Amino acid sequence: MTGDKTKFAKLELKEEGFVTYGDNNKGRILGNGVITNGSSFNIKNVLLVEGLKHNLISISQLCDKGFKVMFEPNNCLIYDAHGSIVLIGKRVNNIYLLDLHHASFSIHCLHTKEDDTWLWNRRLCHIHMQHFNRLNRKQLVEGLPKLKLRRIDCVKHVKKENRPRSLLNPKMLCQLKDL
Amino acid sequence: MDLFGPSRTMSFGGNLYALVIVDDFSRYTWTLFLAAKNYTFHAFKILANMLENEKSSKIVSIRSDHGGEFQNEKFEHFCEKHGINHILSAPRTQQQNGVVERKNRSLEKLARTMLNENSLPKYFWADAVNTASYVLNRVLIRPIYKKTPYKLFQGRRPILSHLKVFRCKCFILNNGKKSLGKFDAKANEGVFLGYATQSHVYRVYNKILMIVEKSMHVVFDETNPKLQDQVPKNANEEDLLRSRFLHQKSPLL
Repeated sequence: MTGDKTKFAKLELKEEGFVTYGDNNKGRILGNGVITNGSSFNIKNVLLVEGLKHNLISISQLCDKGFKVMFEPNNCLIYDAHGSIVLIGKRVNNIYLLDLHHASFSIHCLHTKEDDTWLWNRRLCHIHMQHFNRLNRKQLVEGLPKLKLRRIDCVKHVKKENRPRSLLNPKMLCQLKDL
Repeated sequence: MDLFGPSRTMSFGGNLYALVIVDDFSRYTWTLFLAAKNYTFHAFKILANMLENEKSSKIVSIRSDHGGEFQNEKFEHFCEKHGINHILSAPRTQQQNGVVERKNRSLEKLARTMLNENSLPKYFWADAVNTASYVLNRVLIRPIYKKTPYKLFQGRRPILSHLKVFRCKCFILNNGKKSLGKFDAKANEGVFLGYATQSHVYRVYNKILMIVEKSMHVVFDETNPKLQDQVPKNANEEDLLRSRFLHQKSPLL
């Protein structure tokens, strides 16, 4: 709940009753609405309360919606039902603060890794990876990187149902799980 | 040696046939592209002269099937003159010409894969076959000698550092080829089509000028658009986030 009307993206004004604070004071509910930070997420059913100076978020309601909240000494983490982080709050003195406007958790690509083994497979007209390894091991050519093409690298790009049965022995499955 | 074709689509250079010549000892392969079968002799003569000069030795024998392009007066005359033993396989028995027939198969297979991998138009088949034979010469291992055809034929190990992915996107520098304005783009986009046989250059198809040209000043973009979709989603994105925003360990959930 909040006391600031300008925070809402959508607001429905409706007097619904009162909120009782810890010191038994009461705040009048003026309406409820939706708060959003622009793109990544929005919070529904936020109460607009008369005279409230701080914005509060209810942990119990978050938990009801299926989120998980974890408090740690320096921060708090809000996970969604799939276990990925939605929001991170920071602790300032004794209060955990959420900054909605700087909390865009869309994943940015921080680095890319070119799959060299596949690149060389394509450069050499899709030769067999064992052949590639043989070339490398026996040093028959110059200019090849010291890569080792593994059978497993090839399998992991193939859908499970399309994998040939010969590649589904238990040892290989174990390796696949490790990847 | 053997000829395959006619291909249903004419290649970009107007060729329908490919003449495949394999050296029996090293399995080094030459592919020559012909517009019609009757150019076979001419192509063979040029190559034979070139090879005899290069190796300073004589061609002793050639093996082919009974195709009209090999069994004719010109060939007979040439073989007589140069003392070449022309071994013909038995009629309707390709098995006796097996080395080159198998080579045809590999080349066609590789070319088919390379063309279809990124759905390149069929008229680039000659380039695909050429690239395939170029790579195979450098990559295959002769089982008996445990060496590549290139090593056996040229006497030195092949260098593969310049190989690029067939059909990858590339940018061809316009180095004084065409006059450019001050703010015109300095490079044209193109498609990589293989390696030139006679000089150390790349063969590229220039999309702007619509021609196949040879250039050394090319920058390649070898990322595979298809493969990128298949890359599994980063499983530890959460870890990334954690390391980015927090600097501490937290328990597992």
